[in-house]
Amino acid sequence: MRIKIFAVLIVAVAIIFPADFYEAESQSIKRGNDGELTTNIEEIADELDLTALEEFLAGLTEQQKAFLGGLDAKNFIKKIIAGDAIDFKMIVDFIFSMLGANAKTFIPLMMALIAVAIAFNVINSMKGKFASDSVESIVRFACMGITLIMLITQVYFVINAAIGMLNTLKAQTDVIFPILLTLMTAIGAGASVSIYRPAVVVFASGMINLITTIAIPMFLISIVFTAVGSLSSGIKLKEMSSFFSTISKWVLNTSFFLFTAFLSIQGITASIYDGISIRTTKFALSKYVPVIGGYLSEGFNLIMAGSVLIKNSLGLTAILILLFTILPYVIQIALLSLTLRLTSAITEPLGSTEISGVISGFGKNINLLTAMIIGIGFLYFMFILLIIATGNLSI
Amino acid sequence: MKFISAWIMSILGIVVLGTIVDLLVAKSRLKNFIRSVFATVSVLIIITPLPSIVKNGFDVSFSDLVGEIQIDSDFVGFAERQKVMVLEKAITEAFEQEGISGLSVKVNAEFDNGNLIVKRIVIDLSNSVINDKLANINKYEFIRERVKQFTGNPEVEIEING
Repeated sequence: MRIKIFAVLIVAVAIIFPADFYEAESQSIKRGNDGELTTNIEEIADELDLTALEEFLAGLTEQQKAFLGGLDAKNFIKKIIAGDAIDFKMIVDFIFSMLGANAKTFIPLMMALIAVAIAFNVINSMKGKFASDSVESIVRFACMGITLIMLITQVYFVINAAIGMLNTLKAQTDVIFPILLTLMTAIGAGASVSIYRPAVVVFASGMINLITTIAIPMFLISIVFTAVGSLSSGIKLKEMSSFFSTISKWVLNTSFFLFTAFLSIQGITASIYDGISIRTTKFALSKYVPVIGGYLSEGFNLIMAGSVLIKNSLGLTAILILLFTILPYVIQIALLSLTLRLTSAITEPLGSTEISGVISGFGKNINLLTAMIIGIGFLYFMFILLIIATGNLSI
Repeated sequence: MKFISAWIMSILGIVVLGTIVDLLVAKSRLKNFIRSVFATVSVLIIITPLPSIVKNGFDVSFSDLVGEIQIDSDFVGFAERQKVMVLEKAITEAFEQEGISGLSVKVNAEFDNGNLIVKRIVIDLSNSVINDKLANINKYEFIRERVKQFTGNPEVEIEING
C-alpha cells in the first residue's frame, strides 16, 4: 500500500511539475531570449559557489568520475542544460562491471561453505561405523562454527560498507542541499526553503542516524541471534532474532513513511504557494506598472529561468551521484544474498539441513540491509525530485 | 553501541559455553539439568537490559541534529542585484522612448521574500541628451512624475543630479 502511495506521489510530482517547467522553459526560449538566457546561465554558474561540490567530486573513485565525463561540476551542469549529459551505456557498463567484480568476490565464499557442508555430510555418514554420536555433535559444532565465522565476517564487511555509504550520502547531502536551497532562495521560493531547510537537517542527521544507531544495530542483533541460535541445539533464539528483525523493519518503515509523507505534502503545498505568489507578483508587475511593467516581468522571468535551469540540472547531477554512490552497495548486498541462497540450495541435498538453514537465514536477513540502503536512497531521490519541481511553476 | 556489543558477547559466550559443556557431558539426567541451567542463564542475560530500559527509557541522541543549512547570501545578493539591474535598464530604456537618452539610473532596493521594494532612485543627467520636444518642460518634475509611474510607487525617494 505504502509503495503504491509513494509511486503515485512520485509520478504526480515528476509528471505535473517538470512538464510545466519544460513548457515554461521552451516558451521562454521561443520568445527569442535564447541568447540572453545562455549568457544568464553562464553568469549564474560562474557566480555560484561550487567549491564544496568540487571537493566532494574530487574524492570520488575514477570509475565514478567517469560518469561525469571527467568534467568539473560547473561544466557538467552546463552540459546537462545543453541536454547531452547522461550516457546510459556507461550506467549499464557500470552495473555489469559491479556484478562481475562482486561475483568474483563471493565465489570463494560459496565454495568454502559448500566444502564445509560436504565435510559435515561425509563425517555424518560414517556415524555408527567409525564415529559415535558425541563425535557427530562435535563435528556439527565445529562445522557450524566455521560456517558462522565465514558468514559473520562477510556480513560485518557488508555492514561496514553500508555505514560508509551512509556517511558518503550524508556528506553529499551537506554539499548539494545548501546550493539547491540558495538557488531556490534566489528565485523567490521562500516558503519551500523554510520547509526544506529543517527537512534537510532531519534527513542528513535524523534519518541517517536512525539507521546507523537503531536499524543497523537491531539488524546486527537479529543476525547474531540467528547465528547463536543455530550453534546450540539446547538454546533456541529464532524468535528473538525475528523480534529484533521486526523492530528494525518497523523503525525503518514508520520513519521513512512519516518523513516522505510530511515532506511531499508540505513540499508540494509550499511549491504551489511559491509558484502562485511569484506569478501573482509578475502579473501585478506587468498589468499595474505602466510602460516598464511588461519589460520588468520578462526580465525577471529570464533571471529566474537561468536559476531554475541550474537548480534542476544540479538536482539531476545529485541524482546521478546518488545512483553511482548506492548502486555498488545494492549490487554487492543483493549478490551476497543471492549467493547465500544459492549455496543454501546446493547444500540442502547434501543432507546438512542445519548448515543449509543457517545460510538461508543469513541470506534472508541480509535483505533488510538492502531495504535500508534502497529506502534512504529513495528518500534522497524523492527530496531532490521535490526540489527540482519547486519554482518551475513561477516561470 | 558498546552496551549492545557487551550484551551480544555475553549471550554468545553463555551459548558457546553451554554447547561445549553439552558436548562434553555424557547422556544422563545431569546433562538435562545442565541444559536447563544454561537455558535459564541465557534467558536471564537476554532480559538483563530490560529493567534499565524500562527505568531510563531508550535514549538515542542525535547530537548533530541542531546543525543549520547555510544559504549562500553572496549568491542571493547577486541574484537580487540582477533584478535591480533589470529595473535600472527598464527605466533607462523607458526614458529613451520618452526622449531623454544617456541618463544614468541607480536603484536602491530591498527584497522581501524575493519581492523587490524600491527605496530610492538616483538619476544622473550629466551625460543626458534631451529631445527638442521636451525643451520647454520642467525636466526634474517630468522625470520625478515618470519614475513614480514606472515603479508604481508614489512614495519612492528620487534624487536627480546634473
